[in-house]
Amino acid sequence: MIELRGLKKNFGQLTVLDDLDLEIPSGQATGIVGPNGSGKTTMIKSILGLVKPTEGEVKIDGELVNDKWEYREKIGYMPQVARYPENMTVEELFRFIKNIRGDQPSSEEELIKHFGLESELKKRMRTLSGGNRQKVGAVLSMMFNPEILIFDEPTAGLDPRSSVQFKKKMVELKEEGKTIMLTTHIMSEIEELADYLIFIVEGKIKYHGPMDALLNEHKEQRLEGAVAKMMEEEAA
Amino acid sequence: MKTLTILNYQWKDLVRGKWIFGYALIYLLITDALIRFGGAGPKALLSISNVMLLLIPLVGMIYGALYLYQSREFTELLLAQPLNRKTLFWGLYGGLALPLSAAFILGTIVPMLYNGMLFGDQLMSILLLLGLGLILTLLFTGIGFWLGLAFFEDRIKGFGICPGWLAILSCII
Repeated sequence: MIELRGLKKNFGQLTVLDDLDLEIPSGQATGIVGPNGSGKTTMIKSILGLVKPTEGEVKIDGELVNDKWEYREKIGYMPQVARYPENMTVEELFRFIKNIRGDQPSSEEELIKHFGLESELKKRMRTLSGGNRQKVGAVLSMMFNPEILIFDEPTAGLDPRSSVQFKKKMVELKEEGKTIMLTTHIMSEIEELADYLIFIVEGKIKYHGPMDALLNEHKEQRLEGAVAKMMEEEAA
Repeated sequence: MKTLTILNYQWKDLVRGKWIFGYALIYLLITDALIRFGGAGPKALLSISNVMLLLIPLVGMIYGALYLYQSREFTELLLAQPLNRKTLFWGLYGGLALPLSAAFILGTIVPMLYNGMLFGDQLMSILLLLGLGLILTLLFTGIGFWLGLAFFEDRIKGFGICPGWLAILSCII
């Protein structure tokens, strides 16, 4: 379980996360939505330890993880922007990450095949298309079979076929009981993949709960309508 | 051990980038030219040390900061791995500062070698010059690296402070 307690993050005068309290139980897929600059990525980065919270606690499986690094063995992260050393080949990058983690991946071959990266392995990163780099990020996040998967706008640079491949994989991971956090601006993706929703505006959580409850509450059939209504309420 | 893995990757990346050879070549050409013009005596050593005092802080500091800004997303991905921050940053710093030091030492020592300066009574002065260059490279790459980290989110500020530091240094010299 991921727990955030009184999490605050200020960048100078700007408050990006404002006293967040959140519990994400294990084995659930949670979609995080909110307007641009609402604090979604900062929240994810706080869980990963990439951003140091101004105040508050982050706990994973009951263990306080502020200033620790060992817990990241449980996490696979796919960032929003996929940029890697330009002179490295895909194969070398995978080897490098394996050496750094000191871990043998359990599903590397299968993932490479799933995302159709076999022909790209010997190529240098600078020659790879944006979509293929994104796929490399997806393989890196999943190859060590982590318990928690964090995807930050994962399908942003993917073509429709690759996007479908990614979603298929995510459904498989969900069925395996992984805890998944996903940020995206594509509401249909959240509807398709997530069971729970976090709606965050200006660093505050405005909704956290099952998707069905949100749809019922706003008398909407589609998530897009319900989220748009929440955004309008916030703007009013 | 993991520091060495990162250092090794950095080293390979720099060698593939090829500009490190260009950096060594600049020292080779400058040292060669200064020895040709000023002879293989103490005058040449003094001129080399003057060039070194200006060039090493400039390149070390700017490249130290620039490297972090260029590889920001990749550094973040590495930080998301189960890896101690100290291990990662020592690996990245070592992988940058050591090749720069090697380029300076090789670029400077080769012309001295074929001009026979290493076998004269100036050996101690030459070793002192190379040692000073090594310390300056380690120090200023470290300062550049530190500025890059301190202003990780604000590259204009981080990058802008580098020339400021150099101006202060020039005044002191």
